[in-house]
Amino acid sequence: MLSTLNSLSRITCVLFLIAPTSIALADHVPTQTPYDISIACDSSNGDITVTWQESDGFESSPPERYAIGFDVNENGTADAYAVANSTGWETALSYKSYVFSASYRESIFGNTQGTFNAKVRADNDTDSSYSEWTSTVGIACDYGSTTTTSSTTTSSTTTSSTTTTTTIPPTTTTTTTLPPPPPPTTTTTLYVVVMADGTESEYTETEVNDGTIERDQERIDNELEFGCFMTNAQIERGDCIIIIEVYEEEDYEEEYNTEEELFNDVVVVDEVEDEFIEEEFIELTEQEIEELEKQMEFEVKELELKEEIEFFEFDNEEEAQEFIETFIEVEEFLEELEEVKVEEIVFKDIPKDIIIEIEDEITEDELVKEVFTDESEAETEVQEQVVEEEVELTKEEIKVEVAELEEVIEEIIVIDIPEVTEEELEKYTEEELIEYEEAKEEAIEEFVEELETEEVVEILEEINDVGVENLAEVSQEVIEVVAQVVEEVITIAQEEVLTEEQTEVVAEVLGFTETEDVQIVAEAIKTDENVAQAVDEFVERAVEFAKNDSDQEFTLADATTEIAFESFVASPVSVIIDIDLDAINLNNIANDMTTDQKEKAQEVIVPTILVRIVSFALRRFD
Amino acid sequence: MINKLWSWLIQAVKETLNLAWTLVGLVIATLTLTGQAQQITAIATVITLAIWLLTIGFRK
Repeated sequence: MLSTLNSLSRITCVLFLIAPTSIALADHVPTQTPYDISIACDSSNGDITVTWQESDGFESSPPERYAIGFDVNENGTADAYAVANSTGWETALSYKSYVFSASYRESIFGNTQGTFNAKVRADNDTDSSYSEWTSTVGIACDYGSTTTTSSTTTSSTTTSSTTTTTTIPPTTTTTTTLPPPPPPTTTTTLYVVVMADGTESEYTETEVNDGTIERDQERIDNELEFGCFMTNAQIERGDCIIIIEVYEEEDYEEEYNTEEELFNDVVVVDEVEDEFIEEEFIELTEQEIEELEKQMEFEVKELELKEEIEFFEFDNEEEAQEFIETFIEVEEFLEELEEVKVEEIVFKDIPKDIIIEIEDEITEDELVKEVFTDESEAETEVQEQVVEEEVELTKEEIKVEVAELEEVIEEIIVIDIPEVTEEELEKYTEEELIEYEEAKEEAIEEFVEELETEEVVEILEEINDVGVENLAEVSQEVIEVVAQVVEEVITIAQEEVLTEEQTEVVAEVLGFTETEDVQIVAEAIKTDENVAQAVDEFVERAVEFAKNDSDQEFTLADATTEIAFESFVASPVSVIIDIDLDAINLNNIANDMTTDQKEKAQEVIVPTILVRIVSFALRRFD
Repeated sequence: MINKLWSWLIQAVKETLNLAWTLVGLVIATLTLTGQAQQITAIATVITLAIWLLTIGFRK
C-alpha cells in the first residue's frame, strides 16, 4: 500500500514538472499568436465584436498593435480586408476587442448580410516581427440597412468631425415577430485624414494621439520612395534593403530584370531610384580622372600665367602651351624637392677609444668595384660591418658608465628602509641579516613595480651602456635593483605594447638578436617555470658568469638552460611528470622559443643526431 | 617466467647502455629547449626508449 502511494506521488511529481514544459517551449517565439479568439454580434445595434486574449508576455517582440483581417463570405476566409487596432500588448492574458459597427460594414460591403469572418495577428513593426494569424471565426449579424450622415472636412491636415448615426431597424416579414427595440442614437468622434497621396483614412482619437497617422504617412512615403511599406524608424534601422548600384545601361538590363526577379517584402530593387542615380553619376576610370585633373590644373595655371605670358612672344599657340607645361613640370619638381627631409643626426656619448676589428682587409679597388657593381648592396654591407664592430669600453669608461647607472638608479629609486652602515651590518646576527635582506628586497620590488615604463626603460638604457657583463663592478644593491627592473620590464611587456625603441633596449639587455623574442619571453614566463626563474635570476647569473672572465656573452637562453639543468638534477622525473599534454599544440611547437634558445638547442640536437647516425654506420662496418 | 623477465632486464640494460651517448644528447637537448618543444622532446625520448626496449625480441 505504502509503495503504491509512493509510486503515485512520484508520478504526480513528474507530471507536475512535465506539464508546463510544452507551454514554456511554445512561448519562445518572437511574437506570440493571440489566444482564444471569439466573435459576438450585438443584435441591438448590429455591432460585431471580435475578442482575443493577449499573450502571457514571454516574447522578445511583444505586439505593438493587432491586425484584424475580415471579410464577408461563406468560405470561412478573412483575407480581403484588414484593420489595425491602436494599442499593443498591455497586460498578460488580458482580453482585447475590436468592434465592427453595422454602418462600417455596410460602407465596405454595401450591406450587413452574410457571414462576417475575422482573424487576428499580433504585429511588432519595430522588429518586423509578426505572429501567425489566429483561426478564423465567423458570425452572421444582419442589421438591415443603415443611414449614415456625416459631415467631414477634407484637408491636408488632420481634422475632426462629429458623425451622427441613425440606424433604422431591419424590416421583418412575419407579423408575429416583434420588431427590435428602437435603435439608440450614438455619437462618435471620427477623424478623417487625407493623406499626401490623396487617399482618405479614418482614425479614432486614440490613433490620432499615439502617432498612428504619422506612421501610416511614413509607410506610404517610404513605399513610394524605396518600395518598402515601413516607418522611418524601420528604414533607418536597415530593415529595408535598398540596392543602389550604378551600372552601365546594357549591363543593368542584362543583369537585372525586376519584372522577373522575385523579392520578399524587405528586399526591393527600386528602378526609379536607380535611374535617378544613373543620371546623376557617371563612372570614370582612374585614367580619365587623372586626365581631367591635369586638364583642370593646366587651365588654372594658364589663367595664373596669362598676364606673364603676355610679356613673352610666342609664334603660335602650341609654343604657349608648351611653355605652360614646362612651367608646371618645373613647379612639381621643386615641390618634390621640398618634401625631402634632411634628418639631423646627433651623436651622444662618443667613446674616446673605439677599437675597430676588421678581419678581412678590403682594398680600395675592391670596394670601388663593389660599389659600382651594386651600389645598394655594397652600402648595406658596409653599414652591417659598422654595426657588427665591437666597441669595447676601457676600464675608465666602464667606471664612468657605472657611476651614471648608479646615479640614475639613485635618482629614480628611493628605497623606504632605514639606512644601515657596513659596520652595523657586520654586527648583525645571521637571522637579522636575512630579515634585513628580505625587507630590502621587498622594498625594491614594491618600488620598481610602481615605476613608469619610461623610467624602467631609462634604467635599462643605462644597463646597456655599462653592459651586463660589466655589472660586477656595481654595488650589490644596484644589481638587485637592476634584476628587479629586468623582471619588471618583462611584466610590462605582458600587459602593454612596448614601442620599437623600448623593445630594442630590452632585447639588448637580455642578449637577444631579434626584438620579437621579448614578447615571446613575456608570454613564455606564464607557462614555463624555468623561463620565469631565468628572467628573475638573469642579472645575478650574468654577473656571476662575468666574474669567471669568460669571453662569451651570457644571454637569457644560457640562464634558462642552467636552471633547466639544475631542476633536472634536483628531480629528474619531474621533466616527464610535469608535462601538460593539453597545452601541446603541434602546429606551433617552436613558436614559444626565442631565436637565441633555438640556436642553442640546434647546437646540441644536430650533433646528437649526427653521433647516432655515425654509430649506426660503424655498427654496419663491424 | 621469472627467468624470461630477468633475461629481458639484462638485455634492456645492455641496449640502454648502447644508447648512452644518444640519450645524453637527447637529455641535454631537452634541457636546452623550452616550452612545448622541451615537453615534446622529453615525451618522445621516453616513449621511443620504451618501445625500443619492449621490442628487443621482435627486432632480433
